[in-house]
Amino acid sequence: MSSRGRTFSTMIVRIKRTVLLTILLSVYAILSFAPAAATLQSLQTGMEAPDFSLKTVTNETRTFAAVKGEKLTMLVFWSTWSSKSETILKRMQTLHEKYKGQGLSIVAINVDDQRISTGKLAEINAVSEKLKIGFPMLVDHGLVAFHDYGVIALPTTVILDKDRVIKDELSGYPLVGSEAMIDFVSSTIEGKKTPVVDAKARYEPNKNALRFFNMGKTTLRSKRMAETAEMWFKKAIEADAAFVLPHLSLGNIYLQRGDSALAQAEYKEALSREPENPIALCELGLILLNAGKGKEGAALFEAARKAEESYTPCYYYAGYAFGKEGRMEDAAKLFDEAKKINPFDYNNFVYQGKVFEDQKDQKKAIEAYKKALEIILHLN
Amino acid sequence: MFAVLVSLLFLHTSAQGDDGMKATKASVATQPATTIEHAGNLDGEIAYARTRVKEDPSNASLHIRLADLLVKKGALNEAMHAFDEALKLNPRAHEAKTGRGGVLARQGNLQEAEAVLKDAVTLNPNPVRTHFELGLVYEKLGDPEKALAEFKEGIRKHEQGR
Repeated sequence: MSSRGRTFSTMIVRIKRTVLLTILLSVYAILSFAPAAATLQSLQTGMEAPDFSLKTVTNETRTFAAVKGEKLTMLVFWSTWSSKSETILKRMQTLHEKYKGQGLSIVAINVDDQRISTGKLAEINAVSEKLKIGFPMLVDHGLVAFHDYGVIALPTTVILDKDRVIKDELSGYPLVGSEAMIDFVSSTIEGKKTPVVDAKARYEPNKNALRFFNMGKTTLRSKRMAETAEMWFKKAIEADAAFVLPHLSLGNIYLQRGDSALAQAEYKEALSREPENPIALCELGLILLNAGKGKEGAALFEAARKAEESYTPCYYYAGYAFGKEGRMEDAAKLFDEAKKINPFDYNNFVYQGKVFEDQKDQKKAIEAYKKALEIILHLN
Repeated sequence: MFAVLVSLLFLHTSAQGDDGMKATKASVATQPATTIEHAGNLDGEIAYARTRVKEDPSNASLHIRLADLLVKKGALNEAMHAFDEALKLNPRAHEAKTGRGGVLARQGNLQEAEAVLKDAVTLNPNPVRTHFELGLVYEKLGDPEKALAEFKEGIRKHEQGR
């Protein structure tokens, strides 16, 4: 073959490689950002996040406006007891150093406790100093922002644009998801148009649907108007059938009313839109378990744990399922896992109590329920 | 440490029912019963609570706050006195009744504690803490059935109030 021919065939190989690489990157981006595990219970990408007013460790007040970045703001909800929190804070510090002054703002929000003691402040400071954190470290006294954002697992990262609209959300520190999130941040700050950024411009709920959903959330908070929340959530679904959060809210309303058939339908609908939504998987699994379909329920709990490894209900519901089968060792393992992830989720102890009651172990059931109440009442 | 990140799951901790301290006067709303500087330092919190009681002696909530802190310190007689002061100011202060019941139980006066706590349940529509204290009393009285029922009822009331 002539040298010209060789050059031509090398070019073809290179083009093929580039095309293949582009396809692979696109697939990776799409897989990374396809509707996956929910991170927040009542917010999602495309929605406006609530403002906040939080204290620094030196007791100064900071709102979103005071800490926001020109392009993006990353809020990292973390706690001293969640094992992955330090890992993500360390990574955030690297990102902060790289993009300081380029439109990226990173804000750590500690959500250790409703009441932050001086001892706890010292602990937060110690972590900050150890990791040489250079971005604002805020403390969520009363867990107001934590609840407003509906965080379901720790750590959780929420990325906002300058108008406080959620661009991305991630719970825990999963290998693929974290890198994809950081790729998105880097591309956005550097102004690059990449498959990752394109994939982010995916589904956003219809504006009317959002308005109706927010009305539903507001009425749900009011004891007098809570009944009308159902109507608002239904209107939100009418306005945008692909919007998952109203289905989850309706599922919860129906469960509280004791109508598991309606709840089941809502969770199934949510899963048809987001097959890995951990809330829908776990709640549907629990409904099936309580209906005597233990195996189907257990499969859903397992799927939920794979989708979102920091979401504690997946663990203690599965523990409850094992307990119902008398597999106490397996149950204990899952309850322990849940405790490691979040030692302050009182429901972990409620489900342990249920298992011990089923096993006619009154003493252990009493201890478990007592522990749940100690958490609820903030006793030690 | 007893940080309580109650329930990453349901995110409805707003309802600690009526068991949490409630401000009965505007002054309390503007000036907290505990400052961030004192939080976690029990002696400091007690000293601050005493100052607040002196500043506003007709505020039942402040007496209850002081009493709760004294219970934590184990100063049961003083705590009982503070709960009694609160009840003089507001005989329907269920937090004070519940606290009083808890102190009586800790002092070993279980029968009286049970009566006081049962009374507190009738005053409070969401008596999570009272059910908890009653559960403890029944546990000490050697009645696990009733203890279990009270603990479960406390959790149920908490969930209803969410």
